[in-house]
Amino acid sequence: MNGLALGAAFAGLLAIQVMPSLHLAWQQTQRLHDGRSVRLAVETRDPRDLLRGEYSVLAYEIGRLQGLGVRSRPLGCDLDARESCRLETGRVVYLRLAADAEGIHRAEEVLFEPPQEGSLFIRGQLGSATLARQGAPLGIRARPGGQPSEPATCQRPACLTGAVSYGIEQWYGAQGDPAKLDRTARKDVLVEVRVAPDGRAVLDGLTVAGKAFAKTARLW
Amino acid sequence: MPLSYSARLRRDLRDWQERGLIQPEQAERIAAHALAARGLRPLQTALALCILLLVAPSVIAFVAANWSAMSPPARLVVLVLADTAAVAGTYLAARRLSRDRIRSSRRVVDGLATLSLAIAAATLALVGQTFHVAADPRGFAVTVAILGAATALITRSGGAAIVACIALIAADAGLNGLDLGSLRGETGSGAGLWFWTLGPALFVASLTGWLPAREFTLLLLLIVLTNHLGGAPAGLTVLLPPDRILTVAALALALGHLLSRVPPRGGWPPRLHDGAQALARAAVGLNLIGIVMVAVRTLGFGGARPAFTVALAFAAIALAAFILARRRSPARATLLTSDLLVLAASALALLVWLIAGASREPSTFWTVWGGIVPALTLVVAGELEDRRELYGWGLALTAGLTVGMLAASSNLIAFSGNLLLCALLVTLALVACRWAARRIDGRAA
Repeated sequence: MNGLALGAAFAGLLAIQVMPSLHLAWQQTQRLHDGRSVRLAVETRDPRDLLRGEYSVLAYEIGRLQGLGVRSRPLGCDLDARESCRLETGRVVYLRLAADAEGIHRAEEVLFEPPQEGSLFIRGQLGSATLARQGAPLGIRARPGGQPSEPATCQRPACLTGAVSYGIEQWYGAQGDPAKLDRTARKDVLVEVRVAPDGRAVLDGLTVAGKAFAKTARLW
Repeated sequence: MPLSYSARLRRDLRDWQERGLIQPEQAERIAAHALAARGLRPLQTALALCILLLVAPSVIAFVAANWSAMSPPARLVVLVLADTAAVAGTYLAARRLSRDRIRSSRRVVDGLATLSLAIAAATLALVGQTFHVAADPRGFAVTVAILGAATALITRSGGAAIVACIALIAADAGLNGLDLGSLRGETGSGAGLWFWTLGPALFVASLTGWLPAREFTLLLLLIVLTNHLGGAPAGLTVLLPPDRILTVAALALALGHLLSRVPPRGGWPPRLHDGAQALARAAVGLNLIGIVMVAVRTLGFGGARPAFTVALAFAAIALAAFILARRRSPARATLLTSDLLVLAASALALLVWLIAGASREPSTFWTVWGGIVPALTLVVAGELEDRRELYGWGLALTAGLTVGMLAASSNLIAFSGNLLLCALLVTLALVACRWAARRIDGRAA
């Protein structure tokens, strides 16, 4: 191999090696700039990742669905023949979001295809999940005021119960900060998220009791 | 069996002199050439390694101490510059290697290329951390496998190839080790596609000598191949059915032997010969893993029972034995080669697993015949052709299984009886060998 070809090959190697990191950094910054702002409620836990340092796991309210309505039925699940069916892990879903009176975004319904009409939605991947047809039991629903609980049933054409992840479940902080966050009451923690037009989410920042706790850095 | 090269060479020279193959002055000249003092070069290499081991953690600690204070763009710049420096260093070492053909330059290229790969992987992980991207171990492993394969093929680095192979295994198993998905036998989504893209490229490059012919690289590739063969890929090799492992091992052994018999013509067949021999050694390593798996299953771990695919494994072993017997060099036509013994050990282990699956006998009985006896066969195979690795691994497996059975067996009397029965059969074999040797000597006289 002559010198020029060898130099070109090694320049190509450098490009291949740095491309994934630069692409990830550029893509995340782009989403942080252009994404629509969403505020999500969470509960936290405190693990440590030996590979990547100290972080908090953010378990979102919209990450644990309890019989959320489904607009269209997915392929491979025939609810006319049976009451419910399990959906495969890793399946992509889209949750339509709407803000409540306090400005916190809640899940309205689940879709298996990206919505067309320009509404606010977030893209996630199913963990363990079950789809139930209308009228099927969903579990026991607690009632306020100490009244006896009642069995809940699916009131929509189909309902989804299960776990969904959005790729924003970990927040990495300086040493000690994640532990500080985990000692905070769950109801005081809110996560600011930016959602790109395709529904992919990026963690933008954290607020604790209404005050900014952390903000994700940007390249520009 | 002496382990050091100098001790083995002195022993061989003494032996050859006693047999009259070489004269004493020839032995002295060989010893003087092979064991000549190498001056201060080894000391220089050792000191350079010490400097590297001191400077690298120092730089890492300095950067880590200031990491929190650096802005994200500055962090990215530092990491990219470090990777650029490593790739540039690899390029300079590769140019020197192509000009001077110094063997130590090959090691420098290898080390720097592997370092650049490690920096690229660390950069990706740290960028993910900066932007709070949730961990995706399988996606990360696939990316490292792609980067490792590219680095290995461009720089001809064996170290990068090993990293790529380990990443492919991690992409199958998940970096969380024995997670539930692995226990259920699931592979990462998309990992199969990447294995069938990268695996053949690395395999052919190792076999043809483009990459250094390392049996460890080929063994890792064979492990991933085993994982991806069959109807449902298994998550971890430790949970793979032994018949699948032994099928792949036997076919790889046969392929290695076939390719090593290709007559040398042109520039690359000698390299192909080295690669084929490395493949045969890797296949023997996979046989060893298969025998361990049989012992594990016989002891009741793993849960899988023998299936119809055991017949395929027996067919593969028979085919490999046929090829090995037919393609032996004329000088060794009547000798029992160590690889044939390895195949016999595999067949015995498989047979015992098959019988144990349908039997009500306690695991103590079958572990002796399906684990310890095949392991001892490997020891004999290693001794037969002076293969130290095979000898050592066979002894280690025998010792491990024996100690394990002594600690865990609920019926030590049965264990002792089976060991004695095995020793009795080996004694009969020894007597038969001595009788045959006397007859051969008598005929020769």
